[in-house]
Amino acid sequence: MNPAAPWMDWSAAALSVRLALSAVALLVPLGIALAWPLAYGRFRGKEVLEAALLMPLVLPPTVLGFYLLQSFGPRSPLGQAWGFVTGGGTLVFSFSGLLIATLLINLPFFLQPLVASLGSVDRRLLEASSTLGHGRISTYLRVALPLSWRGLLAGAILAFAHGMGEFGVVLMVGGNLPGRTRTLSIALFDQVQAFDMEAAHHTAFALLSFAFLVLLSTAWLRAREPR
Amino acid sequence: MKLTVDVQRQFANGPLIQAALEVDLDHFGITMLFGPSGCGKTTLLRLISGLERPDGGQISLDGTAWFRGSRELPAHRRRVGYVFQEGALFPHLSVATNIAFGLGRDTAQSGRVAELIRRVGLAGLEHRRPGELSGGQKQRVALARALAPKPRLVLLDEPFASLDRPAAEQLRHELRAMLKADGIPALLVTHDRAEALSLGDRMLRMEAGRIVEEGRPEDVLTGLAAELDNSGTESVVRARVVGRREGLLCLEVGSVLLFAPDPGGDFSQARLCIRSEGVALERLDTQPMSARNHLSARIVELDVRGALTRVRLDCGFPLESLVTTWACRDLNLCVGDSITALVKATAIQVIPVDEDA
Repeated sequence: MNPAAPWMDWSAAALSVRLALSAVALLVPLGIALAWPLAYGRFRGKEVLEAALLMPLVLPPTVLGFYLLQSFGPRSPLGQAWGFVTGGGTLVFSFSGLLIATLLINLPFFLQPLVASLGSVDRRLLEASSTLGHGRISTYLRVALPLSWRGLLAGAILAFAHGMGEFGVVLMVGGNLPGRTRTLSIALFDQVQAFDMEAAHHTAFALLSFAFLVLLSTAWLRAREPR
Repeated sequence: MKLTVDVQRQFANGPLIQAALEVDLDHFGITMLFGPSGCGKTTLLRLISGLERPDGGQISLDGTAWFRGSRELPAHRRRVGYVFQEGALFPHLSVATNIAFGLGRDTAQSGRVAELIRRVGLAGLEHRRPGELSGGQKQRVALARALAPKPRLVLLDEPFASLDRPAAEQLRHELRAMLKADGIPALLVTHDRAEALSLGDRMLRMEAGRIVEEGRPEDVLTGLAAELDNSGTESVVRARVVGRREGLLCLEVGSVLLFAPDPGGDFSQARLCIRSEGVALERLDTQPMSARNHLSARIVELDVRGALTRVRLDCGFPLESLVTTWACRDLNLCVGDSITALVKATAIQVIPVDEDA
């Protein structure tokens, strides 16, 4: 054991928190826009959209990471467009790429509780709103969404928690650059590889207690959802 | 302006709704949509409001199509108010914000909300949430909310169904005044006879998805079975209160006086439901004509139905009597005969009506 070593890889922890928070900040508006057609839309191909958005739940993260790596590459259209817009920035092995990947993989975690909450809003309230002159968007923002705040909050917490611990995609897209793309879960992997078991215990226990607290809070939110 | 509706709608396990009606939107009036549960009344309201889409037919306002073929004006642009059975108030908003919901930002700031709150008697409760209100208060808020944007027409789906009796009667009494203050015509769904009679200016009777009869409530309900399990029917007439004594009302129907039990309350106009089995017939009146509820009548029609016969009478107003067919033969009744009708006071149900109805 090295007495000079820090209790934990603090730069990795800070990066994890920053990544997860930024992802949630972008997820909330994006998810709110996507939840509407999923909860209330009636259109052809809705099942296809649902399946596509839920894919990250079952797909090995490395598979998603692989495709993202392919499409983020500096010679890919997306990578070139990004370079053009940012003046030479790259998506691969950068925080921006990591953020987009985290966003995509966390979308279903955010959407599922929100769509479930929206679906349980009393239909007549939406109808009442429309007879009072409010179109779909206004009704969604003024009635459905405020009544689904628990689902929205639960989704945001889940996405944040999952964003903190994501491993596969982050490793594929971001690599393992200390201070830039090395998150806590990757730091844990490194610590175990280096047989630094005490540091590994600290990291693992921190992630474990964090996950437990998060699940406890969402369970608490759901238990109080009025029926 | 005139709203013309002629629509069809079929649900998987409901009746085929095939209804045609017209509503005059220029003049205030309450039209009752009356019929047994499950006959399609609510569906018809939903089709008119735009909450449900017809399979075919059309809905138009003075020639402007609200629904025709694939064209449809969405519910939020029809300016048709809707009061749901149990209010459907927004649980996350206060009484005042519920009422202001259909108003634009500038109108909401004006006195409209305060005026409506005062008018429905909820002053002081502006900041309460719907969960803290009684059933009657909730329906008042629902009504105020529907009326706030001054819709062209307001549709009410059994608005008193979720209330206990005293609350329902109280609100029924106030409803007319609230609608009238803004001159907003209304279409109200009910399966309750007394409600239809106390509120309605006009009545559409619905049966198995169709509108089968239209007219004044008393005319539509006359001759209609009072209860489903009862072969007796009723005569419904308008009356004016001319006196009250010892729990009895003295009522004037045309030029005839009738006595009936007083339901209580302060009113001077009423509709009377007279059960036909409570009307007996006599050849010669043994008592002087002035005796209570002895009416001189002429037989208009005899309708023999097995052991029972319905005798349609004219005694200054139309009246029906249900007698046994053998009694009818004993009395040797013939169309055109003059006869005495004895109306049991207990066979008369008095339903108070607002002055202007």
